[in-house]
Amino acid sequence: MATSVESSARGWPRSARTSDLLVWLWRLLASAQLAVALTGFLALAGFLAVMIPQVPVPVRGNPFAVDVWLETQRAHFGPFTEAMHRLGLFDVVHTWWFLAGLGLLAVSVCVYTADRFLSIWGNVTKPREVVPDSFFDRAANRFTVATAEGGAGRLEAVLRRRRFQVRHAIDGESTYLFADRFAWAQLGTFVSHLALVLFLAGGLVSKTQGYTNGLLIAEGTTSPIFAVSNPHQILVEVVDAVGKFDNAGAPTDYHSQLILYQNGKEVKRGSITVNKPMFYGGYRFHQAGYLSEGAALRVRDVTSGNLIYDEALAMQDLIPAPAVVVHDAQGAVVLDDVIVPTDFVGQASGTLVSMPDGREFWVGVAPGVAKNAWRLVVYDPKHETAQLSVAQGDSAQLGGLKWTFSETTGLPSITTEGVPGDNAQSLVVLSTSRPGGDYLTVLGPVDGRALTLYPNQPVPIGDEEYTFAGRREFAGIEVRRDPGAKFIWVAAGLLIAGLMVSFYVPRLRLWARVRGGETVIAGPAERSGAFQTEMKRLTRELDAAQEGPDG
Amino acid sequence: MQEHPSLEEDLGERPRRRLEPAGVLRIVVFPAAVLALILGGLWYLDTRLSSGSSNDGFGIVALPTAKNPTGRSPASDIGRAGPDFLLETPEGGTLRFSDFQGHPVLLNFWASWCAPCRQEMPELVAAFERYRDQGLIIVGVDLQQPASKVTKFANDFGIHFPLAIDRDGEVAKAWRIGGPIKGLPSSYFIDASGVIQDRFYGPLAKDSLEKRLAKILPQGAS
Repeated sequence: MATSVESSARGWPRSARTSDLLVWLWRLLASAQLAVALTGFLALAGFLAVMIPQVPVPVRGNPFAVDVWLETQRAHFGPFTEAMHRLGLFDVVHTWWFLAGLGLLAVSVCVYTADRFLSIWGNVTKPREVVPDSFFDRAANRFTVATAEGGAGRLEAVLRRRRFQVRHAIDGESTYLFADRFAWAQLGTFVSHLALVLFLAGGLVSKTQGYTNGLLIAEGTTSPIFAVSNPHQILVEVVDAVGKFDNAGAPTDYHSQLILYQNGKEVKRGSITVNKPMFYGGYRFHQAGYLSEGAALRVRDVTSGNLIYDEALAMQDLIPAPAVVVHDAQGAVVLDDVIVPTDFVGQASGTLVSMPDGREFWVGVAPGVAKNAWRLVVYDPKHETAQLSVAQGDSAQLGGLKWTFSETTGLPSITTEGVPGDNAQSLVVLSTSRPGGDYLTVLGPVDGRALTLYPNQPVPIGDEEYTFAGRREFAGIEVRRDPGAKFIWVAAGLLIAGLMVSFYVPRLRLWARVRGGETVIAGPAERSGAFQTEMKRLTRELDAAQEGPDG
Repeated sequence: MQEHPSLEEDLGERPRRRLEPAGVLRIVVFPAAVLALILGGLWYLDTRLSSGSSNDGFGIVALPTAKNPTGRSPASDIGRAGPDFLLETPEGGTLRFSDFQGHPVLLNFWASWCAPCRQEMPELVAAFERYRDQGLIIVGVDLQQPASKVTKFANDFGIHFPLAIDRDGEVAKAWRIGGPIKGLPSSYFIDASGVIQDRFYGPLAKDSLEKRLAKILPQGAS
């Protein structure tokens, strides 16, 4: 019993405090100042996100990759880098404080709207039609005009012509008019506020429900868009990837032919480009990239005839290779080719090249002293003192031959695992011979030998048969689902509509008192000048109406 | 004329009077309705997009009690009987997993788009040829691919063991493939009594394959 009394004694004030707190919270959230402050805060955060480099999308979520990326930023931000990282300044839009500000703004806009909705709705649907006489003496906007007999009727007619809805009341000697034009336009502000809420909701929906995935898929191969065993898995097959380039080598068009599969069945096929995506199941598939340097490498078990390796390799690395022209003593060209490296000695990479006279030279490139400079390195393995080192564009004599280092080119290559053979890793290089045919150089699977493979010409080595099945192009496909985009479109439409209604619909509310020979027209306090403009027009039309019947 | 205490406010141009607490409660309905509308729209979009799953009778089926020597519910853990399933084969037939009970079984989840699966497949093909005399069955469950892709891959790589297609990933989910990484390939080594003796997530090399096959083969692996 004692406990009950105590509880009750303490509970009542607590309830009152809670109520006060709620009201205070409601008023805080409903205040325009808070909304403006939050908008300013978010604008500042957005400004920081633009000015400060942000962690790239592929790096996000990988702490190791983020650490590596941060190291690159230390050159700019020095000792502040770590502190900035802890504050989230390198990933502003994903920080708790940015998301909290965004959420608070959404709540604030909702509360602000709710707080004012009923009173404005009442003002629109049930306006105060009758005002006290004192209002006509002290209204901020008021206008007096001399009126002849029948002035109330003429004023009412003119107001109706000017699209006002008019009601009148007679009180003794006085006639009172209430005129209201486009009262509904007051609701335009709610349309704008709804737009703001939808903008924020769209952002939230995009963040929580959105999906983006980048895929690099070789022609003739398939890739899933989700993690393994997702029940809604969609498989994307690239049937054909096409890249077109102008004479300067600049890309003019990328497009790909795709087939989509779901639950083991083909569900859609078509062509995509960068700007013309394919849509399926709420997902958008569009071309985001193109890689022409790919190669299909197959290895077959000679005994069984079964494939034991079948990969389309994306040659995303470049390996330096010298373009060399060699003349003999008579000036005849004995070699004019890009030398594909097969040996890597220190920083030099090259290979053993046979001359028509049977002599062999090791030919390769090594980095020069200057940045991005390369030197041609040639030596005779049988006479190791016979060697030369030539800068790009220069020539030198060795072994009775004139060696000219034309240029250094980058050959597409990849270091990959799993190619059947002796070594775990293999270097695969894609080259184009002078006549224009592709060939593949594979280093690694058979110790001490470099395999040179020409398209569809199998090379048997031991129990395996290696085949370069041809060049394969890769399509970079971006898969995106952004359900928030619908909200954003609707919000943009509503915002424009709301602002148009608020600013361009000539809404006005007037009260008039016609007494004796005087008419006083009063309007609510506002500084837009709409009242004065309307009065000028009213006067003109009243004069015209007054003169008309007499004239 | 009736006097009014705050005329400017009532005329609709001065700052509106704030709602009293009672009004606050009443008007909470409005933002709640907006929120409900948004959430409802999201739910509709989500359910509309989620309707791709096929319900064709294939998938997980009840394991007959007589085929469960553990007496515990089927699970993909070591020491348990694995979840039974009925799936379509690439040729259009059906495959019931529990029909293989009595044989040592290697259940392998794969897909031709999965590079590690392609890497390990020659080892599985070789192991099947090596141990089929001991009754070894390898069941390859492809994930969500069209039958034509599965058949082409099987022909290229010389696969002669039974294959089935898990079109909506239901079986893979029940077997919790890949464990914490939820990836392909995943292999389960099941003895002739139907009890899982070992499992492996990732591509099997010859040594790791032999070590695990030894646990289920009657004469052990060579």
